[in-house]
Amino acid sequence: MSRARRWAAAARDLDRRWLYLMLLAAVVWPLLAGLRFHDRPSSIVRAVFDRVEKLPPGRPLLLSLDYSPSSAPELEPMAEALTRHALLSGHPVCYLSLWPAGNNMIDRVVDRVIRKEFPAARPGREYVVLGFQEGGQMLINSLRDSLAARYRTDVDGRPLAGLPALRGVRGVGDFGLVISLSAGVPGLKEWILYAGDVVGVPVAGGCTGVGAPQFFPYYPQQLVGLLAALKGASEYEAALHQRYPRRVPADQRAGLGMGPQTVAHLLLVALILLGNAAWWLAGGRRP
Amino acid sequence: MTGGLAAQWNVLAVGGAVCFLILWGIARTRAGLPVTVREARGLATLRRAVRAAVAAGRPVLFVPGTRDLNDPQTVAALAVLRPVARLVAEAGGRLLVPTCRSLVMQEARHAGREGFRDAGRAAAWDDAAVTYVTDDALGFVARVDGMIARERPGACLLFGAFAAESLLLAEGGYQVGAVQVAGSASPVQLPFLVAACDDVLVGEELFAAGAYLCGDTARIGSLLGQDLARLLAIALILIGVIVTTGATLWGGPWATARAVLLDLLQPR
Amino acid sequence: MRRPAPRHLLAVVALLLVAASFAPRGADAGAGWRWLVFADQHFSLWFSVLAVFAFVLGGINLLAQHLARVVRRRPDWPYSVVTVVSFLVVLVAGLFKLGGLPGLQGSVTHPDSLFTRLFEDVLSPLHATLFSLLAFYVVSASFRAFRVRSLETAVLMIAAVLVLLGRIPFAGLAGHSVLSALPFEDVSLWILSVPNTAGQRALMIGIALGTVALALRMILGLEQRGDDGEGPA
Repeated sequence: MSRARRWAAAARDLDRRWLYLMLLAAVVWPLLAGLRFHDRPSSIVRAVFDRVEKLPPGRPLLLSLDYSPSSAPELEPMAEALTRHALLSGHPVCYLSLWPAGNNMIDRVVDRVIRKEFPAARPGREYVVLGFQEGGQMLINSLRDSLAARYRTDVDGRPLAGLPALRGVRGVGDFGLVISLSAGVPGLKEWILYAGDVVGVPVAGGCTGVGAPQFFPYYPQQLVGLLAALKGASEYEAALHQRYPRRVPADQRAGLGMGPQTVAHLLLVALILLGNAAWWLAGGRRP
Repeated sequence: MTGGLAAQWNVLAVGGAVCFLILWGIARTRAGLPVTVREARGLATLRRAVRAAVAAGRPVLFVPGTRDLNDPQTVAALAVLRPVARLVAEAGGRLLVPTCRSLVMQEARHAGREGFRDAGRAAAWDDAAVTYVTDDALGFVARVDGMIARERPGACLLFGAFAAESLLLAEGGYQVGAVQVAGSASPVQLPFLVAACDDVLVGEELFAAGAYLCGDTARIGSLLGQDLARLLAIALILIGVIVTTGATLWGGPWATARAVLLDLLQPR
Repeated sequence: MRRPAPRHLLAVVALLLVAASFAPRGADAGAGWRWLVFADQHFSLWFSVLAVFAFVLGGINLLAQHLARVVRRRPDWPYSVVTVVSFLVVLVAGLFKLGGLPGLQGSVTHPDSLFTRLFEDVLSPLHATLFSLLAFYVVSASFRAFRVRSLETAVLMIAAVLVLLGRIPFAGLAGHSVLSALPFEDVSLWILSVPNTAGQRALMIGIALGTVALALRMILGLEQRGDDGEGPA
């Protein structure tokens, strides 16, 4: 076997641990080097942003954080950006979750964004936390006509009736927009099928990268727009910074993650091409 | 007043037509209509994998997804488990079935026990082959990957609904050199399973697999009905494509036809 | 032994729920329809109650299995000790709201509570660690899987490369006119919006048909477990 074929065979059968080391380097180096890539909102992300901007003043929006800590790196930046946007544009936010870990996820967003950046915001007035309840699509079913069917108070015991943040809201259909940040089932699909399709409330969403392909069939008829993965979060942050340059810094959480993502994706493309070149040079067969 | 039959008659009509076709298929098959089911390639791989694993003295691992019994994919996976258990019993092998839900564990034990009984080896069945690990999917996959590393199964069969853990399970099986066959109707996870497994039953092939392996006339009949319903869907799509293309290119009566079609099929 | 009661209950509840989805909603709907909507909402509540019982059942099963493993010294029994101890610690921390505001009205997710600390400092990092394995496994799986062996695998590889490149913010590279003009983001969006959507819709239709067929068989009692009806041919 010629030397080239031997090298190609070695590359084709490369121990996976070398691949893991390369990926580790590709993720760590941009963080240490402080690589920044600023983004531009695509049409599917811009659709969500514009819908929030165009809500009538004071119309509340529902933000359902349907994920657990494992998906927080992708979805939490979206939750933070959407919370910032809602409060900057004067729309109360109602938080709930279909996942058991949702209460903690909501707490983190409230702590990191509302308490730090909007200290004058009051629970019940600028935002309300309903929290998690078991049931998945059955919960959405119950909330269609009336929130009170399942929630009499918020998580801190405040009765929902009379809360300024929920003025004009009786059921899910009365929100200006329902946004589900979803890592699986139950999640965005259930909100589309059981809320959006049934009562006609506009539904937008955010999802992990692996989940994005399944939501494109719903756009734009049943889904206002979609924030797909960290890139979608980064695009939304870019739109937010463009709109509120004095209140929102250029470097936000998802944007900081674009450096490692960019280098890692370029590495993956290079490895796919290398793997193919090695495969063909080595004769296309593995012993 | 919103909703109601007047607003959703089209949904009722299409749903009713689909249900009628499926019920007709079941009735005709039970009345004796001969129906041949094409074997999905993945099922042939499954049979070979089980026989090869047992011949090599390695256990067969079957994971019936990570969701509860209310998920149709879990029910479909358990329908596959029984014939798989029969195959393992006939070959004299060992079956391992970790589950992610306690109710699924109960049903999986029943399916395994029945499968061994079908092979005439009821005494060889041990309920301890089916274990409940935890409801947390990532905790489940950590345990199962450890099980794979220690037990070194010769065949890993991943059937049912999976989330992110599908690739973690499949890579674990690849690393011990197991032949892997997966079947899932989770569109999100199919790409990972296709990339990491030797063969995959895609989408409704998972639902059809139980019918094929069991030979149950009701299941085969519903496959016939589903195929007819699929033909109906194809016909509607073709009509829509032709009418919309005509409306875009020529307008006039084509545009009228498109408006009528949209009015008929649009949800209200 | 045949058990018709559960099958009949399943059929009645399923048909009621299907009928309820076609019920008009509003104060001027007929009394019969209003009862159906009422039943729909309350079934939803009862399912949630059942789901909570399933949690309890799962917890009891977990304890029972792992305690049995410890008592009988089955292989890996020390890990079962860890499981049982962890389970009890989190259960006690959450039930009694240790470290947080006490009483029934106290929030279980109070920032100072032991439950929150366990969640933030133990469970979250564990989840993140396991999830991060996916990134590494995707690399090794992609390196193996995207080999061009046929026309279909060539299309697969090209699409994968284009979508990967489309997730890079080329458009935001101000000052790099060539790089920022690269159309990968638009191409990636087209691949996701057109061919991917076509394939996803076909998959969804097929899966929906399979789900409807399974539901019909269950409602009619044709989905046999094997001990009270047809078994394999």
